Amino acid sequence: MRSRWIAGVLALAATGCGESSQTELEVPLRVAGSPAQPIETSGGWTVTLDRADVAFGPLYLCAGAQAGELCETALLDWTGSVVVDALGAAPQAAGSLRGTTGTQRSFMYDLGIVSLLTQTDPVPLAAARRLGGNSVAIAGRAERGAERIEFSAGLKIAQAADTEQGIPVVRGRARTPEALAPGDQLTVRFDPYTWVGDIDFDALSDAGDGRIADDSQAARAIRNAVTSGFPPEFEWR
Amino acid sequence: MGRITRQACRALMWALISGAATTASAQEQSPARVSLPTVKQRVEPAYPVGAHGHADVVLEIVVEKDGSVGDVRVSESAGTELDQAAESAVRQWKFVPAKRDGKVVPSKILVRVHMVPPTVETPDAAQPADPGRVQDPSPAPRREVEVRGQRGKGRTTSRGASHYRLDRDTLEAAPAEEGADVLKRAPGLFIGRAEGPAVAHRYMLRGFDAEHGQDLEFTVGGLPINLPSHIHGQGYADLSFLVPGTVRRMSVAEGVYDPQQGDFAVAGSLDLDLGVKRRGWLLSSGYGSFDTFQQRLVLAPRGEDEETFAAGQLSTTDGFGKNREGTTASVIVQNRFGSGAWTYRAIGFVHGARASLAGVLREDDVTAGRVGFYDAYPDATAQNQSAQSTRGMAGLFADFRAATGATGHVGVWLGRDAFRVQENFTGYVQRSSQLEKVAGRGDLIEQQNDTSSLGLIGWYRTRPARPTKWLKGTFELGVEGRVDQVEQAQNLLDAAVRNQTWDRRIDAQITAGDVGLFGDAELAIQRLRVRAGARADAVFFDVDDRLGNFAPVSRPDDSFIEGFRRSAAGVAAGPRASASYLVFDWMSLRAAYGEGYRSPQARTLSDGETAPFTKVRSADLGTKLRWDERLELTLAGYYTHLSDDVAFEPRAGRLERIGASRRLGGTAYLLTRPVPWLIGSYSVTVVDAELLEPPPPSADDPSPPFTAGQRLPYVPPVVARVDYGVKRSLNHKVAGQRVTGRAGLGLTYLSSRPLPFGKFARPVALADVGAGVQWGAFDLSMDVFNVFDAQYAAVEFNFPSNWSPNRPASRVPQRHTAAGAPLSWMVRLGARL
Repeated sequence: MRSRWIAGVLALAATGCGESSQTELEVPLRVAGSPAQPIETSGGWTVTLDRADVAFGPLYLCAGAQAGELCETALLDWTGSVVVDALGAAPQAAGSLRGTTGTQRSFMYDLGIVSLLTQTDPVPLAAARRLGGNSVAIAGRAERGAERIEFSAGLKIAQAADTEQGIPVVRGRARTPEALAPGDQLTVRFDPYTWVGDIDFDALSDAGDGRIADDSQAARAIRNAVTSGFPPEFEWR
Repeated sequence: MGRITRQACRALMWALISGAATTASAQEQSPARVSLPTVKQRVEPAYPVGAHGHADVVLEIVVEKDGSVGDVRVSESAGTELDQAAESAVRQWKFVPAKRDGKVVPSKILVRVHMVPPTVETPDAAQPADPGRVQDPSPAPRREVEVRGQRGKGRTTSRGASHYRLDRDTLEAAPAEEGADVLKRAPGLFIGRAEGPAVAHRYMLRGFDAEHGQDLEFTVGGLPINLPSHIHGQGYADLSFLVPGTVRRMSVAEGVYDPQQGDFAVAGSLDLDLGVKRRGWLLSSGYGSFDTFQQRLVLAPRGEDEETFAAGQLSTTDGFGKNREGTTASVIVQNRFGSGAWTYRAIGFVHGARASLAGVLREDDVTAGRVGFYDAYPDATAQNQSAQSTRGMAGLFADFRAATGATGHVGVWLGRDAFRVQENFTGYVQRSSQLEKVAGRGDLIEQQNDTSSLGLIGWYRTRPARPTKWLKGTFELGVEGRVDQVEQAQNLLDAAVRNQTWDRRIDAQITAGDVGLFGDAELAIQRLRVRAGARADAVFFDVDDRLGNFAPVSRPDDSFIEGFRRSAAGVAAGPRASASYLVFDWMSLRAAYGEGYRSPQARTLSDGETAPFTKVRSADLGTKLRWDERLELTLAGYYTHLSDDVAFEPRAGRLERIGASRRLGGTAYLLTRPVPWLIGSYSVTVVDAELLEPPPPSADDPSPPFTAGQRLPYVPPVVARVDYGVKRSLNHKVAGQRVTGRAGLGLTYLSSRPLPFGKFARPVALADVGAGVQWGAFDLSMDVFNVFDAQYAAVEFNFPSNWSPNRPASRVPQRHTAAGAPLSWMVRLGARL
């Protein structure tokens, strides 16, 4: 009994009755794509993707309802980058999110190209460099009857606004607030077919060889879809 | 009742022939032969009814040529009843008068009367002047013979159980690196150097992270040290100007129970009395680790009061690790003069310091080996961290002590302080608010603060009144006031381009006025003593916020001229009361309650706003036990509630409000003097400190660092301190000179402290040792600090930062540390003339 008292006193002296409402947390992060299922566009084109790679990361999970400048302090983050085979359904390990417990209400991430406060121009990370300096590399074919377009694109997607320098390019609100707790695991799942649904394949067909130019409607459609129209699913387990 | 139990009378200090100070050693002169007065006939004082507890009364008496006692003044009060009892007895004493060169002369001596309640055995007879402390006299008397010594404040300051008075032997028991190290002896107080020698210490006391002084009221020689609305921390108090060996007594009032406690007395007040005991000149040089050099000079003219001295010090160091070189210098002068009912004291000091700062390091960078624990980041924005401060203060005080027992005090003081610091806590996360496309040039925050101050104080305590046989009491009224003019700025600097300013955050001028009125009644009813009073302070602020209403870059800049001038005022008032009951002659129970305040940072006020004081409610319950001089024990429990606490915000580089908080804790303090040459003091403070109402998440701060109910950040729940000192004659002489040896030990323990975002700082355990010998006029000593070379953080934070400017930054809070000093040593050689 005496030894218990002594141990208790020593523990008290060492920790100072320490307790806290927040605890450190490490959450495994996986990335995944979606199974290849050709889609039909509003223009009647059936689109099949042969390649859909996206550079993903860094990722920040925030407590506030709005990410961006208001997310000076993140709950969890992962500052690495990884190339996601968005056509592969099997999750692949990307790393770990580290931070503290709390309720996540928003997120923000880059697509392999980051804007730094200390750099005038965005900086490609390893994943983007593997894609030739691009955030997204996509290739496939669109078919409508006898018409067939082989298309491909390599797009840089990075923060361009001076006033938002240093802030990740993609920001969004969690569908439901997520209470982060030990044992959680996050899978970020991309669906690349959502990226090509708004491409005007008629215009692309008229343009020539199917190579999507950086300033084309097709490029803008993909960028819009990737950055705001069709964010990936955050699957918590 | 009324029996005399003990009177231990010791005349303190030295027989000196007053007048011009001598600069030569006594051994080298041919002084006049002086014999001190000795007691021939003594009358024991009657221990007064209603008084309780042991106490010392120091009387300044004139021994006339015929051996009778002439003028008597209370030099150090123990309360009106005890003062009167001691004075009444000593007036009846007869002396063998002093002689100078065989001729009888009048003399002035101090007599300490130790009053002990009944039932305790009467000790040996009173001893006049302590032979061991007698200095050799010098010629040219103004008065034939004088023996001078300590002078007290003339009022009882002891209130709750958590009130301590630490004398020189306690203060100087353990090794000290600097003058301010005496603060470490205060029970429960931890001080640390996290920002180098040019920035004030960081203070922690009984559950308060007082930062640089926001919760602790400091006075030194009557000069108030805290600076209101300082940009680096409200109540900023830098005691680096203290010269070792010049603090003779420290009063530590934990809690706020005395009406004289004013602004910043939230956790309590520390009052330091200055004086130099050993008279003559002291020239001391020291050399130690990290190419540290210290030069010290103390001039204490023989024949003058202990409070009369001049002292100075100069120190240079390369500092441990990188980027920590620094230079500090200070001088203090004080003179006690006058005689009779009114005496006067003039005091002044000038202090300057500049030091480079290594700043804080991310722990993950240290762990990964990207930067050494004692290093600094290589970036220019880190290498250019520095601090500089200069301060001067002067004051003139007059003390009144009537033969009737009435006392009073008036004083006026002025001060000038200039402070500048460049620190980068967060690396590269800031963007300019004034320049649209400028960001990431390094978060080197520059803070400037210049304060000019003028203040006064006056109080009067009536002669003891006795309306009935069983009731006695005195009443005190006092006023205090100060005016401060503060010029302050905060900018972001680009260290890579000659400290180019790339953002302005603060540019303001503040005029602050504080007028305080207080009253205090002291009543003695048999064995019960009650003190009750109140204090009210009115503060006034005029703020010229030159960046107020600043238009962001996206707004038109021609719609108005930026600036926000405003004024605000408020009144803080609260009661202060305490009671003590003498259970046994050696034990008293004490209870106290008080309400204090801390004035707001003026820039946070709106126009016409009632200045929102931080209100502290403090209660204290405990007991004091004392057995002779050999052992004193204090056990105290306390509760405090603070209406609006603050904590350091690294992103802003300053303190921010974090809401209400409360503390429940206890302190044990033991002082032992088992033999005259050994002193040991032990203290432990345990506190449960809780944050009650932190700011809720908001759009601007959706992820606040604090949550309701959590432990208070940065507050150590356990603080322990041990001081040991040994000083003894070695009983043999070398070359005809006596050799005295001394040794000291200081142990400090600081438990783990909660940090924001759920982390905890590591405990700190430090040990300092020292030893020295005194041979004749020479003194050689060596002190070793952090003797076990513990690698510890002087301060720890937890916040997001980015010290890797070319990589994506984590936004998750990371632990940051500023290294504490490793093992270091210092050898000093002193010569006393």
